[in-house]
Amino acid sequence: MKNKVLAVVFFLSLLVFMYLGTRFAFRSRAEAININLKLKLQGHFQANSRLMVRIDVYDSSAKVAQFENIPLLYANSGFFEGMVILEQNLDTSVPYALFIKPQNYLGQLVCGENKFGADCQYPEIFLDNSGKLYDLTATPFFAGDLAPPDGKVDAGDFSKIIANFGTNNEIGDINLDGIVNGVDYALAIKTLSLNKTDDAINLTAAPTPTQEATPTAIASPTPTNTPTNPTPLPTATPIATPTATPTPASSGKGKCNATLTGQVKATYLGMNECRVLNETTYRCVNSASECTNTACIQQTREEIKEALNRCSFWLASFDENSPISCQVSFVPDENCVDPAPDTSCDDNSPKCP
Amino acid sequence: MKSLVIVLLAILVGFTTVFFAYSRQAAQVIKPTEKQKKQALPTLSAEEETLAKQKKQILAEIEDGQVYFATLKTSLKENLYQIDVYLSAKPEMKVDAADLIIRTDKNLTIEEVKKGQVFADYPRLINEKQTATITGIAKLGQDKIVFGEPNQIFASLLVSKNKTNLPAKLTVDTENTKAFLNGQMVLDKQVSFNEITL
Repeated sequence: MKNKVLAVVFFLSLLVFMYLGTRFAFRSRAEAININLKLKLQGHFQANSRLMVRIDVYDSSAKVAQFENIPLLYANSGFFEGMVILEQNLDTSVPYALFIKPQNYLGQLVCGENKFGADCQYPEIFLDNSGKLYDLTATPFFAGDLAPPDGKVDAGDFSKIIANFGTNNEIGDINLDGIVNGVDYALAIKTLSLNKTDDAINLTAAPTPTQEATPTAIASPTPTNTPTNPTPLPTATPIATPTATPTPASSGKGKCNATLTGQVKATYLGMNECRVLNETTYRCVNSASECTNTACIQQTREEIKEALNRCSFWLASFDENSPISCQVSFVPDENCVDPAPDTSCDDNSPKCP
Repeated sequence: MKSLVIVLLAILVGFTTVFFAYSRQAAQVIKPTEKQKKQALPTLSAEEETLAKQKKQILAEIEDGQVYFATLKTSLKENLYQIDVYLSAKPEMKVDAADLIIRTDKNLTIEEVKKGQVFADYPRLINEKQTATITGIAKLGQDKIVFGEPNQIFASLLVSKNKTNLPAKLTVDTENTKAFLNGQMVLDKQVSFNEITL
């Protein structure tokens, strides 16, 4: 009988302490502070590539916590995504800023919804257990700050890439394909040439809202009956009324048709590429004076650069000496609608002869 | 007494079970397994194989040593100077990357920064008028790797004095000026120049 009691005590104690253990060891996602991250990194990655990220948590005065080796997975969407559980005692009533530092990449600061980098002045993130998504895909993270990271890409990082070139070492393998090769080298060159660094962290306390004067009976203005719809303006006298037929020149808006010709030259992973440019397009302008060959060339160059960056994941560089010419003609069109932006990366244009 | 021992034993068994389960799970989340690593190992392309072999061969031929920056100052006009910065070393030495950061006082303006011949590639050449940042790196071509060859001009600066009658100074940012070979710092900061007075 005594043995049975002892056995019961043993198993009950075991259950109690296993329960307590799991309470501390496996805090559920629903209970712990957690966020979802979505990052865009410079470079191409294989599906399910695993990226390690460091997250530093700042309040308005200093770093209050650091989380290392947080894994994010490369999803089909082309971004690294994942849920991050912040397992330290962070105050849910205090606003924070998060510094996100992917392994081998420069870090970015996020301090609120759509507030990143230079826009970060003070912490605005209230952490909770709702798994709120922080989408850092607007600006890519730039590559090349190899371990041990120092917030910039410099000669030391290149030397590590060259020292590990051709090996399967993790140091220097920026794009996580398991090998240090020319792609890693090209990724770091791009960052170096742009002279990028980690986002600077210069946070201040959130401004306290200025207290509005309590309105007194005297001071408070008597509410006037502000009409919901403004009082109709006096109708124009028949003499002033313009004729019903609008002349196209009244607003000057119109369609600027353009014929683009020339060559688009670019460098991709150290190789020169050249494609023939021969297409027609248009854009809407507010006046005929905006429809000039020079403006067209400028805009075409910007659009090509943007497309090159987007489609090459910032690996290609546009050659500013590419010969591009535009022939424009203006057609008045009050209802002109800009063409849908071309987000496709298919390039069927012929190679330069 | 016996009950206490049993409770303690239960605590021990309970926590050991949880600890092992947790640590195994955590390890799995953070580190890929050896099997996953082996499966993922890619191979080099033929060109990359060639480059890797070349690199090995070049590194084997290089003697150990250090490099240093030295300068040659030439007065071009009354208030315009050319500063040629050399990367110097013993003959068989090579480098694979170098940063040089030079700052001027307010009496000097950097008019131009020109790349030199030490490296085949200078991806960063920045003139911020009072700071020049120059980075040269070994070039990885399609079938050739070109290391930096010292004992040539690393970079040249054209600087102008704003007030001719006052002295002016260029200072090297010694913390961020570096030269590397095979991942190792090879710049001798004791020998390298730190400032130039004009």
